[in-house]
Amino acid sequence: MKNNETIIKVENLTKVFKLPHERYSTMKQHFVNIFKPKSVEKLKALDSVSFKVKKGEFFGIIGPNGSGKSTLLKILAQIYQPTAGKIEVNGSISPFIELGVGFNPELSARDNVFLNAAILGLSKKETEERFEEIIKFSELEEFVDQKLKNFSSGMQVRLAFSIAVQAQADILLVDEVLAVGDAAFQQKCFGVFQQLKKKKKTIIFVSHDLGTIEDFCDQVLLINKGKLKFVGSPQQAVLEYLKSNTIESNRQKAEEIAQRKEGKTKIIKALCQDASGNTKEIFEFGEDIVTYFEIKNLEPGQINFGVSIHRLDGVYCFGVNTFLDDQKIKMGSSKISVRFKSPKLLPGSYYLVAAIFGDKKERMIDFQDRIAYFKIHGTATGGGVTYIDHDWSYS
Amino acid sequence: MRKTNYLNLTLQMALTDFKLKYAGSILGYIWSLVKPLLFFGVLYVVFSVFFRFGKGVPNYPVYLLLGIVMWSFFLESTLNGMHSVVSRGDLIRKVNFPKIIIVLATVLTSLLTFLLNLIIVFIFMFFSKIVPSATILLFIPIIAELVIFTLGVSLILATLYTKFRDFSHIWEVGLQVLFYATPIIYPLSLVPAKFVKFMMVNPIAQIFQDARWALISRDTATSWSLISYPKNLIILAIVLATVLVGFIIFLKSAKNFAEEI
Repeated sequence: MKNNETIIKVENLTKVFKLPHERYSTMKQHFVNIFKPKSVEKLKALDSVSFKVKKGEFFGIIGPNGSGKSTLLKILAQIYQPTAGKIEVNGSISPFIELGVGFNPELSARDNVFLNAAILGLSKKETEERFEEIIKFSELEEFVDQKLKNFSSGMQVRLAFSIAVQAQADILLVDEVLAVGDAAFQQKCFGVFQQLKKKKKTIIFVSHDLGTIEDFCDQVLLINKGKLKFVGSPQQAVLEYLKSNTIESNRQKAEEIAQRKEGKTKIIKALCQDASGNTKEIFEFGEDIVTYFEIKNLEPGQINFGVSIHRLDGVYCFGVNTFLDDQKIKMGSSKISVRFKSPKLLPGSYYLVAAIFGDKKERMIDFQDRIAYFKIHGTATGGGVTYIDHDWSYS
Repeated sequence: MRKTNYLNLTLQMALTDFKLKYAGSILGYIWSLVKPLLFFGVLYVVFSVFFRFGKGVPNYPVYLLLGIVMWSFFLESTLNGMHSVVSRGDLIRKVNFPKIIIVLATVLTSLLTFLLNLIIVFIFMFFSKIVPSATILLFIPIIAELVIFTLGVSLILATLYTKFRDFSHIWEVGLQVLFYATPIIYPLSLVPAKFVKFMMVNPIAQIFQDARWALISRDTATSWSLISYPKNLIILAIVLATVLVGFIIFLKSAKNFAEEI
């Protein structure tokens, strides 16, 4: 088999849900309403989505809530029937989209393993052969004969995951798996994913955890309101997602600002760099961040420039401008850099806002909300926006 | 998935249901033996001691017990079968597997209880000094017919119930009607002659009487002796039609279950 063989091919996949305004589930309602035209709301959950997944690929799906991610996964798993479009799958696909489906709290862990494995498609013999391995992996040796209802949610997920990885399908579908479970177990899970990848298994992975998506996926699909927005590199997809996400919620604000815009002077490019000038989006905690901007048609006169850093949830962290710093943009320059030295921003995602304004601070020439994104990576602990060095003492 | 694994899934689901039925109770599986015995005790006192239905019927206690045990199977299977698809909605929305397994497993669970109950029937037969004859072998195809018919009814009900929740009530009433329209607690000899033929067209009545004929007494009146050939073939036609209709409507609706329920 070739390495880059396409294992799933989806063409123009469309799914329409018919949602009756009042769902008739008794016969009286059916009879009473027999002459009334049924009022059905059609919801296009997926709108001509096409993509390909290669064999052995780790394929991520991201998108905001209600974007159609789970519907897509359910159609791939053949739980839902597509309304239109074509799906070709060259291999067996796991029937499973969620961990621990069919787990029964009244049964022991042992019984649940056998039931869950059966749902996964394992025979009794296969389950018996793997039983030890499953329990060992889940680290629940002492609790095998305990009822599941006495397990913590983390323990249940561990058990569920340990069974799920035993699935014999070529393609695994996973929906929001690692939401629970401690860091150590998550690490273990990723170890398993790597092994599965080595075995040339294809994994289709839906998650809101953008960090995981970036770290593990080979290809990421971004979907929004049922429409495919982007397929490609994980970093790009995550950034597109962040952008679309924030643009969406700030459209009104953007329109307002557009009206205020004057002149042709515009910020046309913005990105983050490290100290040596390499474009970068993920920084270590405390690392210098250079924000770089390109401006076109910079007009003569006293023109000011400002940049601010915001946390993804909108919290204004820090901002500077040439006016405050008593600076002047040199005429004829079109490139501006601001170097933030050893910022103590806590790990997380941030965005930049940049603006050009006239000599009087009010005259806005260009305003670009969320013009660039960056991430801080690291182990600095503490809550809030910024890290403050501290010492404890007791008396 | 391979076919053998669907078999495992069916078995696992049936066993799980069976285990859950008795989970948390002290007597556990013994309940499946005690329950029909208690039910039998009540009916026996009322209908044999007070109303004297059993007069002139050889081995009336065993006759009654066998009827109750078979009825319990039919009742439990069809009621649970009807609700099974809707109550497994969570599974259906998250896993792709042949939905018919759910109904099969439910019937299988009841069959397990039924087989346990039969042990009691055999014990009663032993104490009633009934000497089994070769006709006991015919009991197996009779049970097979009961299971197939029950499966057909369960499939129809399960499908209808996904669309109309009314069937939960309709079937409750239906079961009451069937219970009294079938010679379970009373012997056929008490039924006025003009009604007997109509009564025996009902596959449940036919199956119950056949079972009594095969196990207890060759004197038991059956559909085959009461209704002339080929008219009596209509009973088998009903059974066959029920199963076919059941499979067809169930399989036709099954692919939309995930979205509908």
